[in-house]
Amino acid sequence: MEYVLQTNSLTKKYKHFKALSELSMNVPKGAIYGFVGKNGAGKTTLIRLVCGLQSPTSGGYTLYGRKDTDRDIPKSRRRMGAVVETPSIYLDMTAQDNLKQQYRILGLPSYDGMEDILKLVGLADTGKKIARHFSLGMRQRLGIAIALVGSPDFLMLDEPVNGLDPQGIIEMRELILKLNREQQITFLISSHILDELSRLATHYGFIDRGQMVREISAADLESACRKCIRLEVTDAGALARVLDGMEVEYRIVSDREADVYAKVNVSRLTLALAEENCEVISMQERDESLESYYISLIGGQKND
Amino acid sequence: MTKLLSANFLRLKKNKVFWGGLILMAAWGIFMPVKLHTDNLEMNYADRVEDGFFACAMFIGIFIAVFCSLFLGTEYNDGTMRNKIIVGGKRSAIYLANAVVCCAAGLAMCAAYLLPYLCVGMPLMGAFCVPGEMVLLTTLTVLLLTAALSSVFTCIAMVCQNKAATAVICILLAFGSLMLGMVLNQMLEAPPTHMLYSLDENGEIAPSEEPNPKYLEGTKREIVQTLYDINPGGQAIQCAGMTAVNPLRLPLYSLGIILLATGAGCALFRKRDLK
Repeated sequence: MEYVLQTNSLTKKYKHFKALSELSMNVPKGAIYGFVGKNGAGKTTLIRLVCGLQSPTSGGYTLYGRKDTDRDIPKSRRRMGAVVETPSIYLDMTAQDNLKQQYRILGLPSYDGMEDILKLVGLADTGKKIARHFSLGMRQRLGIAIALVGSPDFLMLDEPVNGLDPQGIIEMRELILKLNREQQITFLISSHILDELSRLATHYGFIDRGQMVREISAADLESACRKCIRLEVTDAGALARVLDGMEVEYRIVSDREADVYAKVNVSRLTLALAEENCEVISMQERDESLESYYISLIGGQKND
Repeated sequence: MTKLLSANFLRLKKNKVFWGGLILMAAWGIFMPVKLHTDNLEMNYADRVEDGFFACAMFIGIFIAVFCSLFLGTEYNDGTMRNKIIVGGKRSAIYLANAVVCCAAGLAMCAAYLLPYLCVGMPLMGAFCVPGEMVLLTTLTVLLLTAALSSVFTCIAMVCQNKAATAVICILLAFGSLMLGMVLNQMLEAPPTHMLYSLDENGEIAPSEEPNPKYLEGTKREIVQTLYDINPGGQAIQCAGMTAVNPLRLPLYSLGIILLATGAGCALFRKRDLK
């Protein structure tokens, strides 16, 4: 698998506080990587380090195959854009003037494509209105528009839906999905709004107290969180035989438990199990969401 | 760096503080010779064209302090400094581009005073009475002083990430430097002797000339003079009155300040963790 960003034991200390502790993560190309963690977990610190705003205390990262210590790392950075915390925009300038600034910073010979970017983020009609008078959602979209100048293929968004109204959240989600699908832009999105992230992400990284707790693809997470019936029986082997006979998808959890991923006729199942001398002790419907997965993961870590 | 300069100058072109400073300096550059001329006519003063020509040196520091702290402070306040670093801009290039644009803005404000002054002052009061070389040297000193002040304020604005704190520090420093200049000027201007008046045996006032204990001599005077020459506020006072004792040294001190402030600022900015 090709990776846009890989970190290797990345550590950042602020005096005596360890914001990141030997964090290792892998962002695959083309992914929407949901970076999940509570406030103060170290999400923004990681983004600041990768953006070059701060230097790691130890460890390092690779951006497009280039190490952070490489002299040519600015060339890799040239391929990325980011919105860190609040959108970085000149409040006393119009949307167009803000984009012109970024065109100049990148040394682009003309303003070609500027109107397209403004249209893409829905700011084409803002005219002479200065950014100070924009709503929070508009500012956020302008921040993304600036990050899109120069056609980057990796965008890092730090809490992009924070403070947005429901309409703004929907617009932001659609924009991210559109950019990912149509322009194959890889995204790293840090958020603690899990419900929103679950509608976007193809990969997840769970961070707690500066450490990566788990990295998992959305597909794996989905199967881990699929709606199922948890059956507790006296003999899981017998249960497996019966379920195989019924051609039902299942997963054996332990020698007494199994998750069944289908609607089963309970009477038929119980009778079939009885023939195998197996008793049903309990049945529970399970519907684990990203949120409950996160809670069990982070909570579990805390209890360790 | 040319890309960053191009972006900075585009922003400067639309910056209200810059245009405000430019208009104020130009208005002052027109008002000053008109005022001197009307004083000459109404009160029989004998002011010459050079008497107010370098007056801008006294206040240019305050203008630059306000401009630099607001122009560069916005980069941190609005977070736009990040845009330059994220896309691979080198920190030294970002620093130098900002230093150049602040220096250019300072010089433009200076020119906005000097040129209108010349255009209005010379037709009203005639040509300069002092030698041309002195006018040229003082002009060069004022321009280098402007660049030195810009370098110092750029250094502060780039290292301090808080816009309000930057503005306070820069403006206080600009005033402080002028105050220090005035204090040093007073120390150097103290006469070698002063008159003492006492009553003699007949009850009449008897004047006598005594050495002034406040008069500075030898090494002490040299140290104070050097401080006066190095301090931008001191240079401003000397330029405004064209009273420099060591006119050739002042531009060299300004060059030293530019190199020191830019070198230190650039080194600090490169190591700084940005939010």
